[in-house]
Amino acid sequence: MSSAVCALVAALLAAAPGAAAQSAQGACASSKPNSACTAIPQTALEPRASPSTAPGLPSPADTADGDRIVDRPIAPHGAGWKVARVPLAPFLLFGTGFEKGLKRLEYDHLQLKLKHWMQQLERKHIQPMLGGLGTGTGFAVGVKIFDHEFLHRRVRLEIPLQQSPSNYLQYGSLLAFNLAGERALFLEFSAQFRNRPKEDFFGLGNDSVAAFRTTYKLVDRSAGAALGTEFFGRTNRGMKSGVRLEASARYINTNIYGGLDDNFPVTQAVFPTLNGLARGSSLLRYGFSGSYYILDNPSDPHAGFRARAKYYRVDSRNSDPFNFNESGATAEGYIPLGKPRTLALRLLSEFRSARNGGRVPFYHLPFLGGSSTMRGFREFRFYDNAALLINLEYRYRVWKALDLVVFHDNGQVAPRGADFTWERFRGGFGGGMRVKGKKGATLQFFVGRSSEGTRYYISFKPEF
Amino acid sequence: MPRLRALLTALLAASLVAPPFADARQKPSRRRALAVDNDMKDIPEPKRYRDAQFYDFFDATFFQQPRQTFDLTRWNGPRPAYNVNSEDQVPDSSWFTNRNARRLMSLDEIRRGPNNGGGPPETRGPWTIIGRKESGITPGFRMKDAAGEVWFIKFDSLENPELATGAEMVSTKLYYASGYNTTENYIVRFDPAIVQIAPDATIVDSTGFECAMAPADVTEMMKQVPKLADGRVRAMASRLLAGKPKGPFKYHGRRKDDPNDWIPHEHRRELRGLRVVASWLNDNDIRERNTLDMYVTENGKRFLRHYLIDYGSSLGSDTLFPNIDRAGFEYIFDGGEIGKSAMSLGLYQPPWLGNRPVRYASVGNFEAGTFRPERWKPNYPIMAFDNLTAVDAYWGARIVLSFTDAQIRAAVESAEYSDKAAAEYLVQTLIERRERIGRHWLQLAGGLDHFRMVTGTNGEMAMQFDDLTVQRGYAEPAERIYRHRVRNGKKAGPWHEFKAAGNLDGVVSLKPGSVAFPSWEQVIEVQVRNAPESRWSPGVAVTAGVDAGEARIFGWVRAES
Repeated sequence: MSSAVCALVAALLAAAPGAAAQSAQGACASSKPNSACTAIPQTALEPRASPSTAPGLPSPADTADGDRIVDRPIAPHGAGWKVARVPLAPFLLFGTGFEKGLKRLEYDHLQLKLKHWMQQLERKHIQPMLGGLGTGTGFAVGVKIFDHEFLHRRVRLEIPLQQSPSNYLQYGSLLAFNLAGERALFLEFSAQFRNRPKEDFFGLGNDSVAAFRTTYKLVDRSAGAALGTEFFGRTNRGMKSGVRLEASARYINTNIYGGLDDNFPVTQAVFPTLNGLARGSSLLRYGFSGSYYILDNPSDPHAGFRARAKYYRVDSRNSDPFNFNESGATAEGYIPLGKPRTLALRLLSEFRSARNGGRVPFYHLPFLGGSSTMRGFREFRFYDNAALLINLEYRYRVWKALDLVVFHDNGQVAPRGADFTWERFRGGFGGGMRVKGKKGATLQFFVGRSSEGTRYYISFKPEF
Repeated sequence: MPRLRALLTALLAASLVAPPFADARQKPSRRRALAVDNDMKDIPEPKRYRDAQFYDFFDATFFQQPRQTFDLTRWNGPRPAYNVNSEDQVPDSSWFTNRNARRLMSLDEIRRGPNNGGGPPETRGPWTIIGRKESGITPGFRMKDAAGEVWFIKFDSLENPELATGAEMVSTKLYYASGYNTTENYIVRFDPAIVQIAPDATIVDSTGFECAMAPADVTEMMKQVPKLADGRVRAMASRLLAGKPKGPFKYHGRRKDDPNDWIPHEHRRELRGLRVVASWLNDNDIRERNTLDMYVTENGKRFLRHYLIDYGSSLGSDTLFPNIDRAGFEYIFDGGEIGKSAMSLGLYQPPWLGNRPVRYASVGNFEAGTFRPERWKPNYPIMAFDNLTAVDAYWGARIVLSFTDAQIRAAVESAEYSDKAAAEYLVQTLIERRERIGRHWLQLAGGLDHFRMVTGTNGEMAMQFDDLTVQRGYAEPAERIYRHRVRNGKKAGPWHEFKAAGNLDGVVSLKPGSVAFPSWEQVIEVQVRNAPESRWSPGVAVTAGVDAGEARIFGWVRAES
């Protein structure tokens, strides 16, 4: 063993490039005559023909045919690299495969072909869908059948279908009519089916305990209509503005079952008296919503303001006493801090207030927790009748397609808006990155830390 | 056993530690400095190497750095370039030919550049399109002219006439005069009606499939191309290089099927020093895809000759558009700059941030005010450029400095810019960038060169050299302090400081008799500094002695730091 190691060491030392070259090239050049350095052939010491005419510039005639500047091929890497190749072998194999794949992509014009096939699909009114289905659903794939001139150039039909690996399923349909201009007046009819098998519930209130995590399955079917108006414009300073006002009515039928996440008890076992748990609900929701924005770039804002508000009445369509009002408002502000930096602020409030002695099904309550609301906490961590949220994000661009983010989220839930206090706020902070495409942020990674630990998030659709 | 184990562990550790400075440069000796590296021996025909530009980007951006990190021999810094002769010059080879830096080329030679063939294609036609351009994003095609010669025709974009073709013409002349192998390029003006399509000409359309080229494809292409007032089209015609194309060369490693390729490319002086020339020309798109190995036959021998091609992204051009602000300052994905921005929470602002207006559409985004030669970067990392040492950069800077104002003007004239003010702006910008290159790299390396023996008035031999920093006006003669000492083997004598009295022309002589020249060789080390500073420049070790009864300089070696 030891002799083998010695042999290996000796071989490595001998393989060090340059050493041999150095010894071959004039190592004795500066020695006095009659020194021990007699290894150099005498021909190398014979003076050459006529000296250069220009100072310091050799004459090509001085060199012999066949001379090379080095005396043998030189290995590109040293002995250390040869040793390092052993642990790096998997990466080198990956690199080789990667190179072959990219060559294939380029020489077979696979990018263009893929684009062509996508266009062919679109001509057949089919579009693949990639992304999430909302908070906590994971990555979903699907397809959308669409026709933007369904029977008429002002009629749009869309039928999306998506499913995630964790069995979250969603499909629906949308039939939209542009009654005047470019959505100056629109009428939409839509229907949707959702199957959410692993929803989390921790209990009601700001002080709910993280350890009381339970799971339930929500299946809902809804159908409705909306009538509204939408305008876009541009301000004098080049900012884009938009207004959307909508009146809508929607019927929602919800059924609740035991959740399919085997790691946690079902909600029915831990919280058996929750409103809406036993029999689900059949509700009619009708009301108004509106939004207004002035932004430099609505899909990736760095300056401007956006506000949304809504008010709905929700009535039970069966004997269950689920009659309540739903209201909320959101305000977002974007403050530029020099070209690559933006301060983004969001204030969000949501309220549910029962009417006529009614109650609110727990799954219609506002919630906080997760990548879309309060980072650092689990999805759906806090439920109650009222929710208040403040998000503060410092975003700065480090590369054309990449922003880094430092954030602080603060929120609270309460039985009523009047119960909000400074002390009740729960906060999370952290950082992350936003990967941006042509239409704004397409992928976000966050790490959030709170009193309940550290959580990691990936989201496909930025909330703000 | 424990002692033996410890010894073996130490030996193994020692084998992994970077070996001492492995300097394989040709050492000064009584033999003349090698002027030609004979890497043009007959070789069997190599395979055609197909590169992948996407992989090239990933490899250069993400894999190269770790690869270099694990190259332990680099831990002491890049090793000296291998192909340097005993006078710190690069011998002529299949890669490089000493031109303007060796002998000042005439203005006609500058204008002509590599054009040694029969001139531009005849524009009376017909021109028969035989296929699309194999690479690049500028619109264009391959064609055979009436004489049967094959040409690559490249156009400018509609929005930026003369931008890409102008940049490519100027850079061709300057790269060629610098010593690199380039293509023959001509500005042509032709009537689109002379263009016809060969029956077997193909094009890759938007579906990604290859199909026969149709007249509609040519019509569509011509719609995207600017027209002159008389309806003709300006283009750049590039003659097909002689030989068989064998794909690009890499800026690292060696070509395995080329027996002449002995030196790892990242250790070739002319590829390292190319960074300096490329920075001068802001050729930020320099990369593997824009090189070409041609299997040529010359003097009865067949070998690979190595070319630089495609300079449509040089100067202020990004082929179809003016350069973006980042060009020349950052890689496309620059981990270092991203890291600085990330760590500083966005407070670090890159120097290129902020719009710089484009003054002339035909010149694009090209200026000298923010140019820092040491910080210039191409679009993505190139290993040979990463290995640039101060001595390599000095070599490159000497090439750039060899160009006179008139030569630069002659190169710009070959681009035939219609706007003379734009042409003059380009000339002045190139001159200013040249001076910035000289000022930085000469001062870093000391600027001492052209060591020679002269006979003094009393018949004594003295060593003389040029202080290029003074000759270029980057330092005042009165400020410069020199010192020398003699070294015999490992024994070094004391330093002797002196000033060069009356040194207005930058020529410095050691006082006759201050150094004896024995019958054997000895090394005279020379350094310089500017008076206000305390740091001496890296030394130049000049080997001198008596040869056939005559005191002679045998060569010199520059210290890397």
